[in-house]
Amino acid sequence: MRTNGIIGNGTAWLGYHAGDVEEMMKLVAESRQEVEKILMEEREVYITESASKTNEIVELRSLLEKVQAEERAIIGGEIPK
Amino acid sequence: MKKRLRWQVRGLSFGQTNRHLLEERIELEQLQQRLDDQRQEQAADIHKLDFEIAGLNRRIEETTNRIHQIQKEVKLQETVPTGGKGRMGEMLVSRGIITAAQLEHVILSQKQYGGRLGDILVDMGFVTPEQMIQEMSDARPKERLGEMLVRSEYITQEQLERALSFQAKSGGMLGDILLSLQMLEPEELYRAVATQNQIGRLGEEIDLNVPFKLPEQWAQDNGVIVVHQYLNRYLVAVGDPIPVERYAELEELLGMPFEQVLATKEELEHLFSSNYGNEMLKQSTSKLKEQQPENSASTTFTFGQIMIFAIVSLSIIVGLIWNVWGTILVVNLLIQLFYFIMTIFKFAIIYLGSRTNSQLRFTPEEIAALDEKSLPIYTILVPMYKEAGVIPHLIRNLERLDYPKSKLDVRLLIEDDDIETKELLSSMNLPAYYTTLVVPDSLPKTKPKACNYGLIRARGEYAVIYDAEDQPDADQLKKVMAAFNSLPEEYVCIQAKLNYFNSSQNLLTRWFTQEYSMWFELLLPGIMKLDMPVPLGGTSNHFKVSVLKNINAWDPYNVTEDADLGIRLYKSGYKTAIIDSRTWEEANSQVGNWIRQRSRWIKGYMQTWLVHMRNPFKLIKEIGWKGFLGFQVMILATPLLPLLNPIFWVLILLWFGWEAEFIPKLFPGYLYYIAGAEFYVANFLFIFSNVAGVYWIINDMEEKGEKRFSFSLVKYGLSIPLYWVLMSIAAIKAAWQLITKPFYWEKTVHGLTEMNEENLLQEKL
Repeated sequence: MRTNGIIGNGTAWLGYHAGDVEEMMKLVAESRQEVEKILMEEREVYITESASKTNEIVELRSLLEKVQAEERAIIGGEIPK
Repeated sequence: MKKRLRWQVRGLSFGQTNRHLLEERIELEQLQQRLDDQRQEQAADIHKLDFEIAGLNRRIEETTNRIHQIQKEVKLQETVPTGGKGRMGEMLVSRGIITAAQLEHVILSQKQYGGRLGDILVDMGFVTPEQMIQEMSDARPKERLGEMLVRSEYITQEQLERALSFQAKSGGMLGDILLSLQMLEPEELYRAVATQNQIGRLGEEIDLNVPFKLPEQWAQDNGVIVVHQYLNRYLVAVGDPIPVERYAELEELLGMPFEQVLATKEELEHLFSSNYGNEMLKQSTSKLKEQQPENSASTTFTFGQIMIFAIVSLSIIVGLIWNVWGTILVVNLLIQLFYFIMTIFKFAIIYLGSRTNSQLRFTPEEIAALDEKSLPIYTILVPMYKEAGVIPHLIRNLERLDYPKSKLDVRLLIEDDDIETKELLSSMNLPAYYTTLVVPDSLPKTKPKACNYGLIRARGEYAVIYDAEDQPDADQLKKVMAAFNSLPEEYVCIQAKLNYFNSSQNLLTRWFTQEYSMWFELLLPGIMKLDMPVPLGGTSNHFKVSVLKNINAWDPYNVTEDADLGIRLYKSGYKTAIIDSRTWEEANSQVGNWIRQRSRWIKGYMQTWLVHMRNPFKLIKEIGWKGFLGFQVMILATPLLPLLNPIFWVLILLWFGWEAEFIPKLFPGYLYYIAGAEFYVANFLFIFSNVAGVYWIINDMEEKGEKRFSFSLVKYGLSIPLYWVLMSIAAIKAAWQLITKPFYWEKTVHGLTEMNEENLLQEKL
């Protein structure tokens, strides 16, 4: 990538070829965009998943309370065994 | 041409472009780091939620099963599975507050994770908190531990009285005293202490799949570890009940209320090893390297040192090409001067060391006058590897120590792959003040790494290292405490003298005994007297634990971590004293084994010299000129002289055997006199100092009415130059290993001596 290769008829030592620089910057920018995209996507997936799990927990808690109340009621003789 | 011009006009400089690219890459890395962090955080959160869901599902299923059972009128087992634990439960069942099936579930849960029965009942929704408070209202008020233990028939009244009389004499906690007297098992004591403090006991089938871990340092400092998560609280295991003022801090760290359960010392060690094993291992191997890389031997040669060695070697080669005999003469002159200065200085140190006040001395009356109540907890670290055969002797020797056993914290450090020792120790019913720690397998596999691992959770205010075959004098710990009490604060390390119990086994052990007698009876006391850095011996060095931890303890990459630690202590402004108390070790009795051990020692001294000489000017600034000279005498001369000796022995042979013509060229007039003086006087002095060491110890022991050695040992001093040949072989091996495998620990095999000899000696005493 460095311009100590042949360019035209001679060897150049002054700097990167502008085309190469563009290519390099493009590569880095693309990687960055990709990571940003993953970051956003994963965050969204997490929010959805965690909300769904929290809901599930709320539901399960209420279900547990219900079955426990039922058990207490059976023990207390309110509901026939 | 057009193309080239276009390139030059649009061309971007390397510097500018690289800077730009670097910035972009840093941003990219930061983003990736954020991504990793986010993943970790989210995974932990999701794991927590999953954990809760699984718990809820399990409990719903259990409750539903119980309802089915009741509905089907299945006759439930009325017996309560456990004895004492079920009392509260039985009462609740008999009052019809809970069913036997519910109680069975609660007890199973308690057995698994631990905790208080009442809390679990409330947590499972079987009783309301109000009901529980009401049932507990007539609970027994807090009573004294001893009374409770007698009432619960764990101990008898006589046993309690005996333990209390020990406590009156030596101080300490009643529980520790009862355990040290082996009057009850740790599990029984801790159950009673838990009941006394109205907290639970740790369960028996803990599964450490907890989604939350306390920060390691906090957990270590406070002795707290999370063992289970209930829906509304964490279960934390503790060695002692957590002080109330710590509650808020812990709750904040956990983000949820907590319930504490009491764990025995051994259980807590096991929990810490399982939960923080990796962190502890990392701390043991990398703490010094990370925090003080300049003091770590993880790098053997620095770039600067390689350059200096290269320049010196190159200069010698150029000199040899330019003027062979002139160069050899200069090198010889430097070596002779080195020999000369080292000899004079070493002998001066030995002379000073021979004064009786060069080491700390205490009479038996002074030791007997020590108030045992003031004695602190003392940690004894015993690193060992494949030494199962020596363990019974080790236990016997430690039991002989005159120190309140309830204030001992003996930590037996064994390696993960040492199956035989592991099995033997687990089959022995050792008193509760012994803890067996298995050091996880990792590199470098060295004694200092094991010691660092053992030190992390040491309970003692002071710590000492003993090897498995060591026999310390019974009053050593008390003498050391008397010494620490009488010395200024900067004395943080006390070295006991080492010597050998099997000196008369063969010629090698006799030489070795002579050398050790000179080193520990005369040389090290002289070093102490001159206030120079003391290269510590491998065992029986006693430390103030806080300082030892502060300076990052032992360097796991240094194969003579003890000598290196002595230098680092001195560099940090601390001092070491030598005490008149001995530890009897086993001298290596086989030549091969001896060379392995000695090559490790010499390699370690080379490592230590290289580490501290990375910046000689800084070293002089830190330890002063006197310390610097002492450092060279002890740390440089010890490995260098045995390396140089063979050259001059060959020259002597060539001269006396064949009168080689080139030899006079190497020793012109002035050099001949120096070398001659060294040959006749220095050799005499070195032999003499070994003999003096033996005389010194025999005399010292006779004054105390003890006898270990006879004067017949002295005559073997005349043959000690043969011992120096062995030393040179070891030095050459060490130099080679320093380059090829610097961190390799040449294991010394112990237990080669018939321990009968040791027994005979004991009887003789």
